[in-house]
Amino acid sequence: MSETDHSDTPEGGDPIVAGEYVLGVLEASERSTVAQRIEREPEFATEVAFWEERLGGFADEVKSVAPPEAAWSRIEAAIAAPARSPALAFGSLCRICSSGGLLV
Amino acid sequence: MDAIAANRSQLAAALARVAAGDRAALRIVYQDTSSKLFGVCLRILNDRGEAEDVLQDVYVTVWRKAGSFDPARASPITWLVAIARNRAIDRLRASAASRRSEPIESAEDVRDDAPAALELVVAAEQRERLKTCLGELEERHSAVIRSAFLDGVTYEQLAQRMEVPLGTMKSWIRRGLMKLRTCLER
Repeated sequence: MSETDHSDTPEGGDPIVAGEYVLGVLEASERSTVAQRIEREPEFATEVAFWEERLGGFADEVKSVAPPEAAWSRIEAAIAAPARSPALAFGSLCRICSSGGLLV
Repeated sequence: MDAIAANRSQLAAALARVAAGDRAALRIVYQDTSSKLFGVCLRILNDRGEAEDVLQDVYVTVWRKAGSFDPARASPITWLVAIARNRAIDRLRASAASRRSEPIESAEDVRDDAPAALELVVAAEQRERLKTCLGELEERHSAVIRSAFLDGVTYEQLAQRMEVPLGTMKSWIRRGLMKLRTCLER
């Protein structure tokens, strides 16, 4: 590889693209392209997971900061929505019907 | 089992309960990890309001996606840190697009560039491995890789910071990543 590199596709291929994504050096449009690949391509997702795990040690350097008290109530409110998935709702319905329709 | 390993398996167990729809388990995950994740978001966004928004988004994502956490592939904390960093970086890019005129430097001043006192997130051997492998890189390559991870800045911004052409910055990081990967795989 030369002293300067102007290419969009790096020499090292997917492992390096995955590394660039995890480091966070890509622009918004490039990030969304890569994010779509993670969803669609399991092998590429594995490359991303490799970097996330191996570079995770950097997070040790970041100072922890307690979030404000109100932050948790906002999260609680956001997840308070009813049945998360049809499968779960169906599951609980079946428990009711199999128990003879008695709500205890 | 050491403290980190114990913490890791507790967190993994809590995430499994979150995946099953257990709200109390999400509260446990939040108590154990929110200060670290808020710190990560704050470091990248440098704005408390934005970091709070992203933090909420992160735990709502954890609530929805806990089922996709694979303990064979990731440790719970690095999985959570990855979600937080991705959300924070996406937010940073979105807000950068809406306020392009603001000089990047204004956000850098308040950052402390010296590594903070070590707070244990990952297992010691994993941290040591990263340290060893970074030590094998050219110093400027490892410095920009560290800085990119912590601050979530683009190639372009890193090039400006270091006062080198964009192509040079890409070359430094890509070479660094290639060497790092070979070493980290060992």
